[in-house]
Amino acid sequence: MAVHRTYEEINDKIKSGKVVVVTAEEMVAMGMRDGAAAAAKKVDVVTTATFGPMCSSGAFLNFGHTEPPIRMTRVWLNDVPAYAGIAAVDCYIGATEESETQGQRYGGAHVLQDLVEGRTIRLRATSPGTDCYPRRSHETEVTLAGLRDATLFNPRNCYQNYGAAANTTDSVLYTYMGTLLPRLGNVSYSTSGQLSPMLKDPTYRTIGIGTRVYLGGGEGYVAWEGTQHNPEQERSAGGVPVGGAGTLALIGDLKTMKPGYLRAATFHRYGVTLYVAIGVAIPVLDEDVAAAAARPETELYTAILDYGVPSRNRPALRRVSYAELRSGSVDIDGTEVRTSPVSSYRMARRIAAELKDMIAAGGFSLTRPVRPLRGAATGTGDVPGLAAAAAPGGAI
Amino acid sequence: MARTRVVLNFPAALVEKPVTYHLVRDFGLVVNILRAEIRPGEAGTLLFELDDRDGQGDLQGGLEFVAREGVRIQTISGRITIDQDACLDCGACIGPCFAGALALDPTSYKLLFDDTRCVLCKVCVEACPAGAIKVAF
Repeated sequence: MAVHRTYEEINDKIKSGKVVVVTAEEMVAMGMRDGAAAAAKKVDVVTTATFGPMCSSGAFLNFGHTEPPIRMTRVWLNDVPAYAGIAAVDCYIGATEESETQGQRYGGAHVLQDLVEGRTIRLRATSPGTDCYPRRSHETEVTLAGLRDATLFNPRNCYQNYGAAANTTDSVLYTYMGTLLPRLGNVSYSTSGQLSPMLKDPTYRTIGIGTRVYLGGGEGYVAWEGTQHNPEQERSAGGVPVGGAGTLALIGDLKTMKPGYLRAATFHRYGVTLYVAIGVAIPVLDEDVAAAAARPETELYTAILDYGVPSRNRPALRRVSYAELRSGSVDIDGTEVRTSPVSSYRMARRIAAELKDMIAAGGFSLTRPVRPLRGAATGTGDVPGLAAAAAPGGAI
Repeated sequence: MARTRVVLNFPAALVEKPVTYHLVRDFGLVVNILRAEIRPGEAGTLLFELDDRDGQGDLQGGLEFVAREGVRIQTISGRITIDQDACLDCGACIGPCFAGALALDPTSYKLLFDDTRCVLCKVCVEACPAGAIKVAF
């Protein structure tokens, strides 16, 4: 008999402690052992996670009004400029913004990490002064607990898939995909593969606007499609994209987030970025959802792109499965090339396990999307033609 | 122990002493200099791989000779530190490590360091986005 579950049924099971929840890694193993259909019968929820560098991240901060008040037009946090072109004491601190005094060694991502870890941040603000906001400068120390509001808002996280990187030139390249040795010295990749949220719900059956997520160790939500969301990407069996495709804009209260789950990093000669911990729970609504969540890394593909070509359209050297990438080496034109990730599988696994434990303990219920992501499949059982992708707004 | 890698720290006065020659002739060792930084008149640092040719040479004796000469001997591990709290276990250091000294544990996915392969080239220091790796050479 075909499996059909509703969000309400799953949430009732979460509430009563009867929910069966596994991580995507465990789901893959179950699928291999018993088949996806059998796994679909048993499992209510599959948890997925990722912990990778996500440059398109940052936070809206509100400092509360000073006496006399100031309309901050320029803001620095530990000498890192924040965007202050919004209301009087609001700003947006972006992850990749660099310190004016320390350069790439300290940036917006470090400010965010320091805030979450309870450290004090030096706030400096200037203003031309107005009749209603007479003050012209303000300097003080702030902490996360003392901020009026702190909302993490990441315009693009959770890339559904991402090209792996290599370098065919004769010199070392320092990129956001890490150090790429010359003449195909290594290949770098950046997804959590079989644990990756959007690879495990490839046609956006369950992840949509309004989906509650485990963000930075706290509570977050999918706010919108992420910037550059591209459901039209070429897809392999089951509708799994073979390169960068869907993305998520995520929002959450920075004050609920935990140390270790937002980590600043600097890629040499590239700059500052933020490692963001994201966990997403997939409700097993039917066998199609289960099959996608159980898909192993031998069936998840990406392309190895040549970062030696300084173009928006970098040429692909070959298509490769995540199983091959994770094995430690891949064959490119007869040469064994070493592979390594830039996103932490150990952390992804931990995040997926924590989300699983929270769901099993009744502390995290699932949300039906308020609106599907653009390009979402309808759930009629078809492998998506993704016809809806052509119509912006999808199934509003 | 048939093969070992050591870092030799030469004080300025010893930089011009033919230590390698003695290790080969007097102790029967195969000496492979993997990395060297010696400026005559100043202190120098050498990364040696010493091989006793399956017991034919005298590795222990060679190391004692070098120490007697006033050269400080350090292991590779004494020259590299990986800050476990800072490390994200992301793997960004592994690909560029052409010596093959870094890897992820296939079960725990924690970063592993193999000091028998490291050549102290420092490529990992730049490659680590967390700034967790320090190498002195």
